[in-house]
Amino acid sequence: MSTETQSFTQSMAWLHRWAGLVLGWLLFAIFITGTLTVFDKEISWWMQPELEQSNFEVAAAAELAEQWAREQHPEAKLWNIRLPTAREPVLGIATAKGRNAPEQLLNPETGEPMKARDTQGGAFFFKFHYSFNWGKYPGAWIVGLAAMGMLVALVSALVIHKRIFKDFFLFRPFKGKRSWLDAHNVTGVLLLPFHIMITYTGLVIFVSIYMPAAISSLYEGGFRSMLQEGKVAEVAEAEAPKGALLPLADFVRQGEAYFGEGQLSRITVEHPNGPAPVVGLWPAMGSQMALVKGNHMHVAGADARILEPLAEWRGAAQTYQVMSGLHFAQFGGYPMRWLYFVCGVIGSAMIATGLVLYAMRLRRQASVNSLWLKIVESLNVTVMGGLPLACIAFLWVNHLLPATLMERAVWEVRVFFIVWLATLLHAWWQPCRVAWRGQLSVTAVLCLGLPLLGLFTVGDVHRHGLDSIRFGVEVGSVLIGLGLLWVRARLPRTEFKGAEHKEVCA
Amino acid sequence: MMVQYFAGFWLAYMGMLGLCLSRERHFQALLGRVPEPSRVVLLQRGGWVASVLSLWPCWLAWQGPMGIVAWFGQLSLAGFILVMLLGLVPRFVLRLPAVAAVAWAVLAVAQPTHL
Repeated sequence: MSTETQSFTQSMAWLHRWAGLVLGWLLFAIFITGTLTVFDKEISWWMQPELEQSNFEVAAAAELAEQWAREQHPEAKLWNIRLPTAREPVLGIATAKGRNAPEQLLNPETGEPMKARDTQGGAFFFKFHYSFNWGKYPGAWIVGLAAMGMLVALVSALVIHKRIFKDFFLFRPFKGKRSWLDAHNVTGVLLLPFHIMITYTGLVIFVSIYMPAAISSLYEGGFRSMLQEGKVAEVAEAEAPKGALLPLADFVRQGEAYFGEGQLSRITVEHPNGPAPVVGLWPAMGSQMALVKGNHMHVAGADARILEPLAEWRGAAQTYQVMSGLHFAQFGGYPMRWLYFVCGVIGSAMIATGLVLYAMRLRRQASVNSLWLKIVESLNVTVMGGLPLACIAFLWVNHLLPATLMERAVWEVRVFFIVWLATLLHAWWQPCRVAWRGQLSVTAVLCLGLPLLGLFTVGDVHRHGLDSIRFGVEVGSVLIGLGLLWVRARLPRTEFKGAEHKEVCA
Repeated sequence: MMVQYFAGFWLAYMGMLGLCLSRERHFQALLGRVPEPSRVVLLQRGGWVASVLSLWPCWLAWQGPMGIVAWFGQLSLAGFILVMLLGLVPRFVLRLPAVAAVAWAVLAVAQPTHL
């Protein structure tokens, strides 16, 4: 090998180490919360114990919503009805415009009004995933920077990993640093398609935030008007025929015939009491791979004829939509959701092993700056041990805070960050090994105890039988708890020493 | 549905297993001898064929292009499970497909409709 290629490999190794380390802490947090977001609706459902599963029928539920609106808001100009789905079996209705219009929850089987506690639910993990709960600037920018770093780390990894195909299936456990490197390589290489896909599409979703210059100089209305141009042709909406509104069940059947069973997420009715009502049918996000925001069609309230069909999109717009869809993973039902979840867990493990490897490398160095080593070790514990602890604490505090507390949802988030900060202090003041042990133990205990929590804290909510969604969340939590116990059991009993094995990576 | 998810995973695992066994190191570790060159070629080709074939049940299970995404996922997951078994409990590596094949046959005959 010539010295030139040698130095290229070396500089790539340097790049991989630094992009991987500094951004790895961010990336681990992004990956873990992104993985939890795969089951965001289920987590939200768990976090609202007042809501109950029922044997609903979508068509009948739509009529219950109509009944409620006619009784409570006879003058309403708009009904916005969120239909129950398997993942979120609740009926919602708003009679005012806008995203933040107050929504009344109804039991989709009986039409009884329901009130759930104030919580961000699984949406908090989603927000944290794309912005660290820190807004577009700087939150989404930092996440974008981390994603760029991830791409850099992936490409540089391909250069420095000389034995990709030779060691494709190689994993030698319980052999110190050797095993960590094997695990890092195997999780990285086997899931390479997933890593590249999820990182790249994640960047593409926010293209208007990360690369605003071209859009704002070419389009007066910014990203929104660029999207408008993505439509094949703007079809003028036909005028609605006069007549009274048909039963909503008819429109549910029409929508399900169009988008597939269970794939109608929302029905809107404009001027339900006017001379010519217009009904909007909104497909569920998972009815196709492409993710189209605000996708809907308009039909006449009087005779169900189509007034405005679903928009047709040009190739470029469709590419963007399919890429967003690939990242959001709303398609393909539960089997696909599980595939994404497992890939997310393995991806997190890839980042985690990389962070551990860096700390190992540092410990072996004779001339290591002890302050830097301390920083790396504490941040490793805070991110890999502390963040999962804060996540499960977020679920616990949801059940522990009184349901009527003022600013309840805000307090849940505050507690999340307080717990995370506490893990940082703990990691800093305790020796590395003690901190690892402590934080993994607490997280495991909280995960294992999650099913018991409901027994003590939601006593006033009466349950009829088993709630399959909550049960699923609790089983998942217990499995994660057992996994963490296994990891904790494998921690070395003595304080970490430099690995005896020769360094293999670059 | 369940049958096809299962078939997709089984074929993906068989594909990964074939490719894995075509490497002398793993062949020797699992079967205790050095493979003949002709066997290596056979395993390699078989591995590729099974890997590609697993696209078919994925395509059927997800009724179209979503199946391609699932196929990548199934291949990665099958490879990952294989590697973990290989490192942690190697005696399960060759048993898993046999057990899975029986389960698959049972599912295919029983055709559970609620899954």
